Amino acid sequence: MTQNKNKAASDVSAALAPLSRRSVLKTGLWAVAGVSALAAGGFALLRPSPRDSLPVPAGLVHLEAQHYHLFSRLTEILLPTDGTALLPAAQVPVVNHIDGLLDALDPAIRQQLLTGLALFDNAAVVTHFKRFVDLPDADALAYVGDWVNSGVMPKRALGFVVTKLTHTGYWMDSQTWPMVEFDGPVSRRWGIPSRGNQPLPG
Amino acid sequence: MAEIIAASHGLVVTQAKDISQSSLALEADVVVIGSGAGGAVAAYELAKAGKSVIVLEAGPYVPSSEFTEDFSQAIVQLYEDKGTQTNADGDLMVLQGRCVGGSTVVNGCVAFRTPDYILDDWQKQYGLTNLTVDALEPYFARVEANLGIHVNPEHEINRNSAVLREGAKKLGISWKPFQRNIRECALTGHCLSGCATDRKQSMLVTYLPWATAHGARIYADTKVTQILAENGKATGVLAEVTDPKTGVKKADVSVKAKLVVLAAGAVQTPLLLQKSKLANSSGQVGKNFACHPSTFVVGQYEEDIHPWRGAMLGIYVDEWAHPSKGGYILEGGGAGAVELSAVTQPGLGEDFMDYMANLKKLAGIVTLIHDHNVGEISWDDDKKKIDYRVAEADYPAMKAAIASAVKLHFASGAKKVYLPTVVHAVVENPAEADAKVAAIELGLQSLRMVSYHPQGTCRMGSDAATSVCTPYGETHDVKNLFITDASLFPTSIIVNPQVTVYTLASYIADYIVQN
Ligand SMILES: Cc1cc2nc3c(=O)[nH]c(=O)nc-3n(C[C@H](O)[C@H](O)[C@H](O)COP(=O)(O)OP(=O)(O)OC[C@H]3O[C@@H](n4cnc5c(N)ncnc54)[C@H](O)[C@@H]3O)c2cc1C
Repeated sequence: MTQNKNKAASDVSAALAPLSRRSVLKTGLWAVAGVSALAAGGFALLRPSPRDSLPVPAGLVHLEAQHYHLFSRLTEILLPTDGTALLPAAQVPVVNHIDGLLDALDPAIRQQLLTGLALFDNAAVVTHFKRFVDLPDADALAYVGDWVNSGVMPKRALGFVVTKLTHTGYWMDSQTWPMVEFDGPVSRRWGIPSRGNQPLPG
Repeated sequence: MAEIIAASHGLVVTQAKDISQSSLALEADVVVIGSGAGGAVAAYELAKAGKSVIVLEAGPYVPSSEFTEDFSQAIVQLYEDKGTQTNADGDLMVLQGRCVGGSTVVNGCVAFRTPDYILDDWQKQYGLTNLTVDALEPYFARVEANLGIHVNPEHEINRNSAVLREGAKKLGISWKPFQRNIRECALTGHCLSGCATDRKQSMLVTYLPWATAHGARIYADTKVTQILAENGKATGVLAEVTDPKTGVKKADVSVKAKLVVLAAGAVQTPLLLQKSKLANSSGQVGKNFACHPSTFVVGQYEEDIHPWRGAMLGIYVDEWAHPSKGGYILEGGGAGAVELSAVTQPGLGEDFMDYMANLKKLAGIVTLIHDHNVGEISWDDDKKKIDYRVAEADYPAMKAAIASAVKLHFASGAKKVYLPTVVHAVVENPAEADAKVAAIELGLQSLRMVSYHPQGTCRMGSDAATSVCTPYGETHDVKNLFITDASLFPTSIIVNPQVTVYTLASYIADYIVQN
């Protein structure tokens, strides 16, 4: 079984390895998610998940239900707040914020990223016989760590992207700031007047 | 003669929303492309000399009253590609402003003169014998006076920088307070989101209103698509006005001008020349890109630092600035919650949240290196491509800068230091610092790097076969086409570049007026 798992893991790595070529990476950080264009065909939605039937909030523009469930799970795993003074992640619309962040992306790259997210979720089937969204907490955290610290560049890059999006989706919300004493915008609150334009030099 | 007075607030700018016709034909003595450091200074100096000037700016006009002091919003509102511009490998963010005022609106206010040894090198290697320290002295002085550049007084050195200063003293290494272009700093720490109260002396509140006071006309939302030339002389430009809200094109613009000043920044300037098929007999347009690839090394302290409070940049360490000593500097730099969540990999889950829960105890050091000009800007079909990988020749400087930052943190009292790597790497005590830094495998997707300083893609030089511009900023191939932005630099300059750009633009504008 372990041998099978290892074999499967190296298969995933092997599938990803040629993708570290410069030509694949050329469209930028986000585009590394484009690795999935090759691999997702083999993995996509191999396993249904109980999460698939959970409700999805209205108002998402770019993320579909499967992405919503993925980021919801990532939020649970990557943003644990129990027993801390931090704002519970469940009270922050992390996934809506991530959806908003994707606005800034070039549409072609955004599409590649979305496909990459499907790969990230489904590649766990090969190693754990479950999609990422269904992994128990410890396995899920280890799975993310495996991607983030991977020596395979596109895998590491995609791991980097999903964690960065999840972290930013939480910390960009001003409700999270008072707990860490981050002041956020201050000029208006402090009533600082504008100096306006500098007069012409003499 | 009536006294010329600049408006007290805001700028008169023609924007997409002001344009109802589908085509616009304009005429002026000078058309300036880009309203950032190089464009704004040239526009003012030439308008003051009596020339009629039109400034075309691709980005929107965002008055400071609309700055939110929220970095996640500012990056979308004020930065090139909404902050998503990267190199082709995707492991280096290349930040530039894209708004009226360009990168000067979002920069950190740090103001350095070009180091003497860089100017020396430019004279020896590139034949820029006119750009001596003495010849540039009055231009530096003019810029410094105009922009209120001063050495940070004690109250402009925040806790982040103050602790690092103590560490530098302990180590016996050279440190200095920064000089900054700011008047009556309100100590908000939000420089990179634009100065909401107009204290930063960006182009938005200085050279641009001064240029309009002298009659210059500024068009925002107006991207130049082609530079025109006939018989080896520039004759004007073509541009498009786009509604920034919908992305829909509103009008075609043509400007007929005797002189074209190109200042679209070190990424866009070569792209525009390549598209226009101009000024590239040397084959150097877009080549020699450098960018001071930068990392942010974070230390965690026992005491409260609140790195977002106070003036963002307080002191720097120049012990290793000279190329013979390593060619890098360390800058004490504050940051906010979102930025700090992204600059390192402190671990996942609880480890990450623990790092963030201690946010107020973090202090940051920005590393900047004197990188080799190994990058290239080009078109990849209809998309721009920034081909840049840190050269292997720069690996020692990159590692030395990180190692020195780690040492400085520990000397300053840090309990642990987070390395700026993509993978998890934390230095728990000084004894393991060297080994942990040595273990960083530099290469693709290795460091979390940002460039704030793209430069060098249309270099100046006396030899037309190896450079794009003359030592006076005119392109060798096309007369009356001048460049005044950071693409002029023949080499990277180690220090933050805005003052070098302002100074070169002032110098070139004087040359234009005198000739
Ligand atoms: C976040 C950040 C922090 C920085 N901090 C510092 C600092 O503390 N100290 C320092 O010395 N330097 C700093 N810099 C760098 C400094 O601001 C730049 O080096 C300097 O502004 C470069 O001047 P420029 O004229 O080359 O380009 P820019 O100032 O970037 O101006 C170029 C302008 O051209 C416009 N443009 C582009 N293409 C077109 C087109 N086709 N048509 C019309 N317009 C076009 C752009 O929208 C932009 O407004 C910082 C930069 C950034 C991004």
